[in-house]
Amino acid sequence: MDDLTRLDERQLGDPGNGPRASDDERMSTTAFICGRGRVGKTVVANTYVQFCRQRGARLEAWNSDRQNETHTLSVFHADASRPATDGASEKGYWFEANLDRQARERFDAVLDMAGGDPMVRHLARDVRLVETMKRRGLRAVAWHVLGPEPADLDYLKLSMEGELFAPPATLVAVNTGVLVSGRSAELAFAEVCSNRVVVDALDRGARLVRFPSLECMSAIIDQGLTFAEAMRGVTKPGCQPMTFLDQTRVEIFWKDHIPAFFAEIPSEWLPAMSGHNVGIHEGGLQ
Amino acid sequence: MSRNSKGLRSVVREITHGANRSSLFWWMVENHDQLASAVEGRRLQWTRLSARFAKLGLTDANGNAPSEQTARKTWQRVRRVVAKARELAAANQSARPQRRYPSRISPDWRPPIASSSDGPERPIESVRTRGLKPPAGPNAGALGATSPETGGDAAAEFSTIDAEGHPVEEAKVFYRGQVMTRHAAEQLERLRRG
Repeated sequence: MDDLTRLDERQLGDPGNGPRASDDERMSTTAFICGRGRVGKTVVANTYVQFCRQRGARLEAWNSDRQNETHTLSVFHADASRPATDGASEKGYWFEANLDRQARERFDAVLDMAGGDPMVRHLARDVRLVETMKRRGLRAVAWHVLGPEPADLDYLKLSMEGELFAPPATLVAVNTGVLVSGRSAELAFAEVCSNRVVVDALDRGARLVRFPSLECMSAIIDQGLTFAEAMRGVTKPGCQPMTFLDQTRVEIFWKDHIPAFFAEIPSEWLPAMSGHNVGIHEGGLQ
Repeated sequence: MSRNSKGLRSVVREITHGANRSSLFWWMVENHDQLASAVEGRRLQWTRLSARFAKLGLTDANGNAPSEQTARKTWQRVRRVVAKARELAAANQSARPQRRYPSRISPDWRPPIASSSDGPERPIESVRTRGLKPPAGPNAGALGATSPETGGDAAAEFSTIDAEGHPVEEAKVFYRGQVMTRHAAEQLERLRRG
């Protein structure tokens, strides 16, 4: 046992009989999709679940966003777990129980949080969440979703302050989907990206990624369609069918842009993916 | 000012740690080669030269017309600093990875393994290194996959001198008006390139 491990034991206490990581075991990932409201967290979380599950991931979707009933992860994934109420203690209990089960059962998970939700930050402060999870074989992956407004940095700033919730696996995802159509992503995000908050996160090893936009995203979300369904032209009763051009837009997004987006992320920060449908460009537009 | 003399000036600034140098000093740096070849093997008449420098409006560090002794000492300092700057530039040149042309790259080439932020000893594998096909074609990803031709982030070069001409601290670079880690600059530059 090296000095660092001994220090960890002293600081964090012995894990006792609880589940803990073995050295040769792959760490399960818990993706925390966080950020200010209206920056597209649920779109990112929904895309994440669809992408990883299509590639064989054993991934649980945790939807802690009870403030949002229309565009919520549960609309797209009926099996998504939700806390019984929006109360802070209920939500905390629900999350801790899920995390404990994850450590025992070794699956991957994604948590879609409500805008500005402090639950994770509080846990990070109280129980040194990132280190504790690591000792149980769970890798916390922070996904900070940003829009182009400086106020979108608030959650990242609060998380990084005093390294409250600053896991080594941190992604700063600028969401081009929230931009007004035709606006240059480079110009729109220039101010946010050169903000010291982002630079500090990158200095600590965070990765900066650009989540691609899809012009007809709102039509898909409004109907609660998966991307595969939208590509095939599925229409929910009472809804306007998508044009064939929109279907092609979805196909380009789903088969080209999204695999390219995930290809920028270290694989250990993503769920274990296996099976024949793993190719990130499989069936892409020729 | 030529590109070379700008480069020399910035390296000299790095060596001298941005100390407040006189206009005479910088004039000698910029005209170093001509001066050095002109004086080769000759004894310099510093009295006459210092008068010429004064006529050119060159001053010492205090803004005064340079004396004979100041001019001589400044020239000695300039020769030392320029020699050191050239040594440094040569060392950097040989340490820099050579450009590789696509036709010379093996078909078995794979992008380098990125370092994990969990610890430098623990490599992290990118999705594409797991044998997955990178996206291709005009519609390929918003960020675009790192291509073997560019060698990814490694191709980027950043300044190690800040806007004031001062060298930045070790392992940092100067990018978009800020001092940051090379990793941070690479991430921002990659995003900018789209």
